[in-house]
Amino acid sequence: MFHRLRHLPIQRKLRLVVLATCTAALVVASSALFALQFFNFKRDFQRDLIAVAEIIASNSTAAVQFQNDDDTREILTALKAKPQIIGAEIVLSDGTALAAVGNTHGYHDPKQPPDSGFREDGFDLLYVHPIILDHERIGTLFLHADYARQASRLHRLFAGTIVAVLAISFLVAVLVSSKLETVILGPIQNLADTARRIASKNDYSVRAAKVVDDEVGSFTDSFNSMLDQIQTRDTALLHEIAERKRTEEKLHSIQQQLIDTSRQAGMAEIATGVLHNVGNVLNSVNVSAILISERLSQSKIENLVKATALLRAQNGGLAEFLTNDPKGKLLPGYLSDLSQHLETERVTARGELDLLTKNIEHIKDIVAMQQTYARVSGLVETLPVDALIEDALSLNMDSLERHGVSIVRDYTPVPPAAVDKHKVLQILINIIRNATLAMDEGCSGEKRLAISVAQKDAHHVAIRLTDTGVGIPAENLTRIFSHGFTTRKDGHGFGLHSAALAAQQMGGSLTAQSDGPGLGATFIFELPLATTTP
Amino acid sequence: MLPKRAPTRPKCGNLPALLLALAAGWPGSARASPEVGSEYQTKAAQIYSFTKFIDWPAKKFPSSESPFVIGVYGSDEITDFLRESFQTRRIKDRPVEIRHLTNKAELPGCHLVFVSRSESGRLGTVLYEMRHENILSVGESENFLKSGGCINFLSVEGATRFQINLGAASRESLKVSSKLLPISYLPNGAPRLPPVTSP
Repeated sequence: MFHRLRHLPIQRKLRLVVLATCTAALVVASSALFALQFFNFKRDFQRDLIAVAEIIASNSTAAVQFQNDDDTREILTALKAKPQIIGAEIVLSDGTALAAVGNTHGYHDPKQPPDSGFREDGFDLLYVHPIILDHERIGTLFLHADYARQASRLHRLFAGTIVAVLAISFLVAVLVSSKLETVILGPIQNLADTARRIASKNDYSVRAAKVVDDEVGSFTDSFNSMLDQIQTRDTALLHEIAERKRTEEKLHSIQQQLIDTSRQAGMAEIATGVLHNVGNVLNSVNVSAILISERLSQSKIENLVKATALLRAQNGGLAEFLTNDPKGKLLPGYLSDLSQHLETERVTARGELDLLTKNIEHIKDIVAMQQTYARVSGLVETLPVDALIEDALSLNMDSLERHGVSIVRDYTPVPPAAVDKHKVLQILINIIRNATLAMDEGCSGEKRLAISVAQKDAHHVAIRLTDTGVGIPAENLTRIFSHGFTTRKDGHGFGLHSAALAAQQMGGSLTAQSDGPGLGATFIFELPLATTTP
Repeated sequence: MLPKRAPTRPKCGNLPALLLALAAGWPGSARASPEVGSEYQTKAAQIYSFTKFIDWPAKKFPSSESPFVIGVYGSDEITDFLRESFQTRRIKDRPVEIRHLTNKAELPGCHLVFVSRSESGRLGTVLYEMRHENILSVGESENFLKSGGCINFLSVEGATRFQINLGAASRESLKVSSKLLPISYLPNGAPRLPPVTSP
């Protein structure tokens, strides 16, 4: 019901409130009155009957004493004035009926004087009152009253009156409230109209007229001042929006510049990475080239030239020279030794050249990888971990040998890893090279690089590379992986940073441990096992 | 003020029969002739009723133990009925003494004097004797009230009724209850208050 009321206009609600309140108050008041009337009626009725009986009894003493029936009847006839008394009778003390009026048949027992008081007689009421003269009971008065009919008539009358009063009050309340509600509704209506106009036209310059000086009046004031504020803010907002648009445009152009700059920076970073990795391999290429160059410069091929020149100088007497000349006699043996030597040299040069080719191949791979890296992530292959380590070692073998580093291997058989081969090689080469340099700087005691492979957990394999180098101070253990951090004079702080990044991209990790300066360092390179790679 | 009454009274219905019935129960009724006995029995009963509606001045009683004295002047047919009626009853809470008066000098000592019909010729002197003595004089003669008596019995259609001379009663300083007046008989056109006449 209250839910339905919520949708009514205020005017209806107001009228409902007034009428409901009026009606409720009237109903309560009239109900109380009715109840009071109901309970008082019987009491008053009885009291009235007693009073009448006392008057009649007192007035009739002489008539009863002289047993004058006419006078007694005359006194009783006066009861006509009381419509609720439908009968009366006076009986002498010996039980003889002296006089009676109205409906009074057989209320008394001639032998015994009845007790005074009220008696129910069907719906009627019988009142018995003694007539006493000089302390002597000379007779009895019976009053017969139709209580029920009187009561119902009176109650009907009363109920009718209440209904009439309610109806009239309701009408009066409707009239009064319809006059008075305009006092409240007028200003509210005015406000609502103003609000509607503002909402429909978005015109904040409209103001509500203040009609009254009550709460609605102060509400109108607040509403108007709110409108002032809204108008001010609206104007400010329009300015701000224009300003913001300009700023956005500026921001957009700056962002474009930033994107360009960062693209350039990214390209620079990629270039640095490529250069670094290529630089590492070039080192090996350089070593191989020097070695080949040294070998070639020490080559016995000049001796073959000399021997050939010697043979050509004999010019026809070659057989003589070979059989008789002491030099000629030695020459076949010499040539045999020389060819042997040249063969060895060729094999060595061939080995170096193979290594050189491998390194150049690696450089090509690096460049190719960077190119693919710029586009998509690298190719993931399933590869045995120990083979990867051996590849990395062989790429660094010359450098390791030159620096006199001994390698200790401790490989536990592990399942193959799912990795990007070139990334792993780059990382391993980087770590091995770092270890070599660190052990050079340490320059005391044995130079040893211990490499172990073990399964870390169900999904990872851990490669531990422990050197006996200068070690890492505790505060640098994490910093070494940040971009641009280095402890070497010629370092550019990129190697470990890109290595750690690459390890993460493959789903692995690269961490460092060290007991402190001079105590060596361990790099732990974790790789995902092939089974876990989707 | 006296209540206004209808000039004519309705006829008495069952009163004579009732009175007869009452009289039948009374022991002394057998001695006199039935009519006379019935008449004086009624009169004796009504005399008793008068005392209930009339008050005497206190000075009329010398002490608190003084008896209420009823005198009978003239023939004494009523005396026995009075004696019977007051055998066990008291008036104004006093014992009742019935005297048959033979001498006028005895009159002032009474509170109520019944003057019998036999004295109707000498009413003036008898009533004159009783003047200013606070005596309720009750008679049964036609000119009793005119002679200055207070209450007079008369027979109306066979029933014994009474008339009151309020002037005489007030002269004797007797207080008559207003309740008594409606009971008293009022002949056609007669005034409620008959004029006081001196003998």
